[in-house]
Amino acid sequence: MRETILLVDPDSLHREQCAAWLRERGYVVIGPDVSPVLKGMAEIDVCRIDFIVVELSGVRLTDEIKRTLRKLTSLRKPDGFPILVLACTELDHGDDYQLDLEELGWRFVFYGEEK
Amino acid sequence: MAKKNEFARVIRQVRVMTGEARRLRETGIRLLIRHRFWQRGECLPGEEVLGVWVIYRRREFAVPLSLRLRLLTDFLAAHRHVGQSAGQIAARMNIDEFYRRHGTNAKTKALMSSGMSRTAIKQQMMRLRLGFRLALKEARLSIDPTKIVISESTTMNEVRYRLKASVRWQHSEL
Repeated sequence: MRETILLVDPDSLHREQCAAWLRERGYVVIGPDVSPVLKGMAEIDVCRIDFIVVELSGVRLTDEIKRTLRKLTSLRKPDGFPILVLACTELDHGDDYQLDLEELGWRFVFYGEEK
Repeated sequence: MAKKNEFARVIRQVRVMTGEARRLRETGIRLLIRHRFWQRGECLPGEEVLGVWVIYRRREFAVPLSLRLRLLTDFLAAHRHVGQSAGQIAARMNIDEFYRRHGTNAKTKALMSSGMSRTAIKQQMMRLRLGFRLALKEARLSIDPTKIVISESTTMNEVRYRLKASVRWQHSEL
């Protein structure tokens, strides 16, 4: 069975490129149109999703964003198993940023160029 | 335009998550059960079930369980490949030397547990799930505890209980 990924990326061009990569590797990718502050993430159809990949390159971790991200952490499929979440960023936001995300239980990947 | 390998690390991490999700479904969460007052050789009566931990992403999360619930978890873990009714569990635990002589290597009666009853076990299963819920919350792992402490229905109204997890026991002298 092919896994379905919800790809959350406020940059639509970037989202299409990443989605194409994932589709090439056999994943089904769906992606909502969300604003840069991730509004519109509240209502997600969890039945269809196996993983969530959130692109956070241009996103500052404000309290509002953290609240939204915390909600994503507790999502569960109808069969009782978790929906795992991956945060990725091309920009180095610093150590605290990564630690904040990992405290939420997220996996984190930095894919920009190392300085 | 995206560079050729821009998303390679993302893809790799997605593959890891795919494996992790598959493992969770197939074998359940990873548990560590620690026994102490061990006296060399194999696991024997007289030891204490010190505690139960959920292992997730290389970290340990204690499952807050009372003495009875620790014993029940230990029993379910040791018999995790077969579902048993509350009556069967109570009967087996009440004659099992490991649970009857629990903690006696410590030369104290404080670690001894009185016997289990069928009705008590039904109640304990709910409390056991609550313990797992708390540990999983701490671990930020959103699994329904009923997928760990599983109730299996039978052709009659009897319910069988089974623990779905991969379990490792660790022994120490103190």
